[in-house]
Amino acid sequence: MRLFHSLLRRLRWFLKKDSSNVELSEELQFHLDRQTEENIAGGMSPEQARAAARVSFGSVIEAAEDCYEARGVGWIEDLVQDVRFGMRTLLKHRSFTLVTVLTLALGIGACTAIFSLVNAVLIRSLPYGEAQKLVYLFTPNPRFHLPAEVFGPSNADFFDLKKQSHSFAEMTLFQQATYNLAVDDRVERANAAKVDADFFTTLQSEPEFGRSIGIGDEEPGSNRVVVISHALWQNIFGGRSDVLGRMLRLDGTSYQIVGVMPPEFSYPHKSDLAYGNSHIDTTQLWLPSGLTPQQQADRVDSNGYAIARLRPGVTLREAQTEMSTIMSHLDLLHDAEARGWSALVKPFSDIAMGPVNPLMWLLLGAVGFVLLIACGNAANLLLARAASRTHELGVRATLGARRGRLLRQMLTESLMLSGAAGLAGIGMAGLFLHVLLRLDPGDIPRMQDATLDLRVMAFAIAITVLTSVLFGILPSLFATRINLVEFLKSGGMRRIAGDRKRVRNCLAITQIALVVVLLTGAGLLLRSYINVLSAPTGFSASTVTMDVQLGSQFMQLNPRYGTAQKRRAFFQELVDRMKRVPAVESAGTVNFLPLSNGEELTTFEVEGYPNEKDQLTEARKITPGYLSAMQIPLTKGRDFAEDDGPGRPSVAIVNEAFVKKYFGGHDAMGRHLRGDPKAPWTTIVGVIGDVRNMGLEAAPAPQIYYSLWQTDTADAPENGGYLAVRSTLPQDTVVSEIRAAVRSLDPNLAIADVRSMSEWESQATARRRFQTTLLTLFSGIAMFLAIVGVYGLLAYSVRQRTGEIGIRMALGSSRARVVHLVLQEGLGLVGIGLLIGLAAALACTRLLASFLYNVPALDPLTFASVPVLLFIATLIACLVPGWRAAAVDPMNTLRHE
Amino acid sequence: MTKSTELLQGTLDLLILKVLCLEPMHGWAIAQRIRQLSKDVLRVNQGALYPALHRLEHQAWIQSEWGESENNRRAKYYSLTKVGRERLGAEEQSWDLLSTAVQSVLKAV
Repeated sequence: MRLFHSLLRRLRWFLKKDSSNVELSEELQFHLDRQTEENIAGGMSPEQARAAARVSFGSVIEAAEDCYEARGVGWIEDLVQDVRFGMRTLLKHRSFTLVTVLTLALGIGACTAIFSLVNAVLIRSLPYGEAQKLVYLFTPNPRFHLPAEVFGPSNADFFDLKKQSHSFAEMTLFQQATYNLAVDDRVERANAAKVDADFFTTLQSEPEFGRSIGIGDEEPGSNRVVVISHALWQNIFGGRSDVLGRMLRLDGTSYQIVGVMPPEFSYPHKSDLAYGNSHIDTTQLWLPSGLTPQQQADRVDSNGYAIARLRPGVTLREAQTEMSTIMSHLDLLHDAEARGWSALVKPFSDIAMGPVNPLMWLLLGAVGFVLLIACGNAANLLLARAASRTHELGVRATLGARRGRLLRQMLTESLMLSGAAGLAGIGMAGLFLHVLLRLDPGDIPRMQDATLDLRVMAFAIAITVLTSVLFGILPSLFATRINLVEFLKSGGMRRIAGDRKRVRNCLAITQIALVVVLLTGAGLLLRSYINVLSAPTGFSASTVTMDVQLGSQFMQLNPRYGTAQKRRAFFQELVDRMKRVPAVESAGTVNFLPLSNGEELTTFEVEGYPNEKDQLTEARKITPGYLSAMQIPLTKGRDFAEDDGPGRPSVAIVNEAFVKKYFGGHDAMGRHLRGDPKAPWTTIVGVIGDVRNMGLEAAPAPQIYYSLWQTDTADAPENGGYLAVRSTLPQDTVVSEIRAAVRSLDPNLAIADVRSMSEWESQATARRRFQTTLLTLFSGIAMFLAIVGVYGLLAYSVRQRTGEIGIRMALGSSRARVVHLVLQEGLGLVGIGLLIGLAAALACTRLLASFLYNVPALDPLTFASVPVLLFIATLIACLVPGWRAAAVDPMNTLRHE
Repeated sequence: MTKSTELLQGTLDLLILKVLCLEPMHGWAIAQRIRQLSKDVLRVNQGALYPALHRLEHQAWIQSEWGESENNRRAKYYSLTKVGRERLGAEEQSWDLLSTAVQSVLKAV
């Protein structure tokens, strides 16, 4: 309040300044007159009296100034003056202003755009109440040598944990499923979660309208209700308000819509689960799981995901300890030969954001470098201008301006510059963000929610102020350090102070060094990306694939395909139809397509091999024709034949990695393996090339292929699969043929993931492409800025040294010598910058190691080519001022000296 | 502030407040009154007087008003405000404390 009053008083004074000036001089005049009167009364002559009064008073002007400052109005007036003056000088030097503002805007814009991404992905709070209290519960079993996050608790373990634990306020178990959703005559694939009554309370989320899943819905039999997502409501029902109570047909069964979730809720996303259903990106439906008592008591299967909310005051460690204790008891209830079940409590954010954390920091770091380089450029430009303003500042200092006053003015100017740059930068950030979202690799959670919201704006303003201090303070300090005696002795001539030049050189060296670090990082990422692209996939990129699911997995079967025979008949018929299409060379199905992020792991043993207990490997169920449709080369033996059916000797195909590992590279034909120790042996009839299933960056694992026609009917029912078709027709024609075939077989089936294998590859490399593109882009911008910086420095130096160059040439120096002189100056700086940068890069690239693929962090090629590239670029930047120097006319310059 | 006696920092403010507590005065009269009361020992530097007055006014310890002077001219009269009166009490106390302290040191040694 006091501050406010004081400000108000100052403002009032400021506004009626002119009248108060009159009053002040009247007041002081009165004093002088009164003193003069007194002196006359003391016996002096009027002249003497007046003089004595003046002497005893001292400087009237100084007193008036001091009074003025005592009022505390000075700074407001100074500010207005500074802004007015700054505006005038900045507008006068238009090209300087433009270059500085654009340089900074580039830096601020890039930083703000990346920050808006980080804000959306890491900072903005999740719409699940106190999301930091959410934890996933896993029951890992080390005997299977699989990541802990693969093991969700079995139903029985979950319900026992729920009964016995006290660490969690709420906990819920859910499964994922996909359905063929039919509304009117449209059929679509819909992603669903089958949840219990605690699901929505655990996530502290409520429907936009309608109700969520309640306890009453869990009763088997009364569980034909569904909650739908906002997006589904908009897409399928056009946002109609009478959607509640309407029916949805899922795999032929009708469900009643009881609620619609708000737009921000589509949990679980693909990134929310470490090993979620690979078909599901976001969830559109929530149905009651309706577990039967037998299912609730199932301790063997674990298809669920458990998420819980920590009770207030309970730490992660306490919850972990408690859950471990409970699991050690529950472990004894499991089958004796599969014991070893333990407990893991993992924060939700570790799973959902942990994997993208390093990438976000990498991007922020890179963009921070760009901003620093931009600041360096601006500082250099300002330093150069400050040097040419020596005259102006010197005159002002001579006239009595104090250093603080000059400093304040310089800083006001740099604040104005960065203010303009900030505004332009926010505009650029919008543009950058637009481009960023186009590059979305699809696996960064909530990336599409990135906006320039209030927090991002606050960040932009903060870095704007920070940059103005960064690039403004140094030039201001140097410019205002004026030695008046020196200044007057030099007759007010321009000159460059030696230390100022040293500062400018240091700035240029730092910029070059930063660029070297960025370029090296980008180079390493580029090399990794090329390595990934050139890694052999093992399949043909042009094969067209498509996903058909007959029913939701695990929990419920589409009544039309209730038996394994019916499902098999469907796929047999589908493949046959495709094969009959002219120009289709081959067609086949597989349960998990390479790169689709779905994986089947199977336990197995090899005859005559020291098998480990519970050894696991990748397995696939394929139909004859799949291998040739994918053009996976058969190196030995034969493909499955149509008559390798049920009742015939069971056969398998393995890949070369399998042969290498389990048969020591010897001939595997005719050797035996089996999945179940009690089952009869399966004969290996073929060996095929290695296929990269789990991603392009992982070396191919040993793989076993079984014939879909031969898989045990009692085995987990194959509810769906991918169809692969190889044809000479264009992709669109193939796709419409496939659609027609599926529709004629069953009009209620939706098909999804229609794409060629090259599109799968492109998706598998999307993240890498994203990070490589961004880092390359940033280092390109950084290099451009640094080259502009070096160019500006030299151009300025040449202008300053015109006189010297003229004298040199008059004394007989050749033009080549002059160019050499300029090059020496520029390349000397570049050389030092390169050396420092390389040293810094050596230290920094270790941090990059996790982003690299088949490239050592100290890759010689990168470390050799970056300096060469930068050297050539800066050489060009140095040559231009060099030529300008060589073009100096000695006569002209000497005349001006 | 005079050649013979340097005024301690802040003492001028105290003197101005004290002098003004009797009646409103203009700047010249304040200087004269201080000089008279100190028996010609303290001569206020006039160049410092007016900034001090303006500062005190800005702090709202004194207020000003234009009036007619003893020689029938327009002059600016300063008077103590309520806050200024409180302030004077506080300043006097701390001055007493300071001077007795200095006195006792000087006497002791």
